[in-house]
Amino acid sequence: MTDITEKDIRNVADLALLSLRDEEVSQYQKDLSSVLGHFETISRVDTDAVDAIGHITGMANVYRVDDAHPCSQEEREALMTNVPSRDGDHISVKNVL
Amino acid sequence: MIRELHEKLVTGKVTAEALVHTYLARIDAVDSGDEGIGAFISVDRACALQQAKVVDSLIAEGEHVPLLAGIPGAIKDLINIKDQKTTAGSRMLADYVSPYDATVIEKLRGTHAVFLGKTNLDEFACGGSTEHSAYGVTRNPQDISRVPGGSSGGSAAAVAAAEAVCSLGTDTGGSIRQPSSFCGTVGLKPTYGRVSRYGVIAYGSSLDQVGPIASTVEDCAIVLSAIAGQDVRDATTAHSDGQTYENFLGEDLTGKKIGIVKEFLSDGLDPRVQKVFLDAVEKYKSLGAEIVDVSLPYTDDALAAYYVIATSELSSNLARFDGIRFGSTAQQKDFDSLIEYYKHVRGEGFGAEIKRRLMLGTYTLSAGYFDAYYKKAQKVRTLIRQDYEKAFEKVDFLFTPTAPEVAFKLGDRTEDPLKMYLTDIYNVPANLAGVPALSLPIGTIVEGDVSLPVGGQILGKWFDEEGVLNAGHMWEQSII
Repeated sequence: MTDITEKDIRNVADLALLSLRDEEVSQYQKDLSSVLGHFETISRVDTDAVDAIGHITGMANVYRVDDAHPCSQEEREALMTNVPSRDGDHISVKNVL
Repeated sequence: MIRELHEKLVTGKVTAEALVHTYLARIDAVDSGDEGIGAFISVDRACALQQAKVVDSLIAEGEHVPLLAGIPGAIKDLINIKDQKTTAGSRMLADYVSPYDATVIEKLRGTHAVFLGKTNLDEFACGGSTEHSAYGVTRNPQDISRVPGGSSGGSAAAVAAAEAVCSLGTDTGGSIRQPSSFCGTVGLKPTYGRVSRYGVIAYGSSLDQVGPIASTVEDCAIVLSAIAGQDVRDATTAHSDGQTYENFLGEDLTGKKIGIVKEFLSDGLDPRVQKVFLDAVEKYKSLGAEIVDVSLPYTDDALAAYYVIATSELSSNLARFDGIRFGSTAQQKDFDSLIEYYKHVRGEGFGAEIKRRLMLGTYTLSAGYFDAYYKKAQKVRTLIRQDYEKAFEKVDFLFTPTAPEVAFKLGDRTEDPLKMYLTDIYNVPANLAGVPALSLPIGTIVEGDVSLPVGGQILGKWFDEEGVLNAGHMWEQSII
């Protein structure tokens, strides 16, 4: 078990952009303490001389030409139909500043 | 099974339309209601019948059609089909209609395969029981009081209940193989990079693969041939020569070396599963294979390393669900800031298991913890890969039980997330190492009046899907 406080849970929920109800906070405090305790078992592995893995089958630097993809009005409309709030061809969001 | 149906279709013994009607009637009969299987989230009859009619007219015109033409299949609801909903098993995407086809769907369209509908899953593919879906649970067709496994539980159950001939699942840490083991189907997780993930909602991007579930190894091979290959839209896909995997089946196993991993036969293994497994090993001996004892010393560390990596990548991938471009919204409320809006939409849209994993992943990636968790896990992953490299210097394949147990009862694990995670213990190493792994039914355990399937898992060298499928096919043929 890892000692995770209620404050830790509220902090990590803020970082993860999640609103939590009070009863969820206590449940996740219990769950995360138990699971993070299990995660910590990897600390026993000696990895001093080991590199972190990059790509598992060893691929590197896959490039493509940086071209703009022409988008038909039909494709544009199909994408925009999923937008919760729109203004013509624009996505409406709340003021950021 | 696909080959037999194909023969019937091209010789006019059955039409594709009639075949689709048969499967739709089966879905109507067994899928819904309190005791229904619940394999499907949505069924698109019009789409399936339209696709079938095209196949019938092609055949009537004397066209040569591919093996999958007219074959009714099911698609995990994590994979985009144009103009159909993709829910990912989440309230977050309850109304999301995909504007495009995933590459695997585009490829299947090229074969004129038929899409019956979208199958249930643990929300965003996170889970091992298909109990974490916003659209209800899926039940195991062998015993409806039990889970089908997960996260591709709907895809495996649909095949096991004869609601579809074959299906697509995804596998990040066993999500094709474990439900195949629990439901008695055959399922393949291909090598990382073998199949494009374009149009598939991402979970753990360094682990995810799409693969087939079917009732025979040959059927899996046929589906794999259709969906595999390099894709410029998924930069992790490897070069491929367009193999026809079903043509590699039937090669004698004499002289092949099969490794039995001692770490997989440890305390947590149900002794009844162990017995079925050891009997299956004897079968390989009788097929001429040489059995070799193998040790993979880092097996015990795989589960923790896997969950650190998978939840970290999940927390990054699911950051895109913000209620702005698609997904849930909260128009009716007024928020003080955009941040408050995000938190509300995500807090309400994601289910309990997703929130749990998002917080785990956010924690392990946060400043001060990154080195101790994520970076450390990526180093352990290097050691696990080295374990497999060394093993495959000695043997052609590894053979293990797919899961340490048979399907458990609905509700048994939902209160204890760690216990649920431990069910993946035999599956996650293949994803961490990136190797191909096949699960096939190797026997059953009788409990009361039900017979519960046991799966065996064959792991092979990177990109040796031919060998893995052949080893599975030869075992399967030996018991017919």
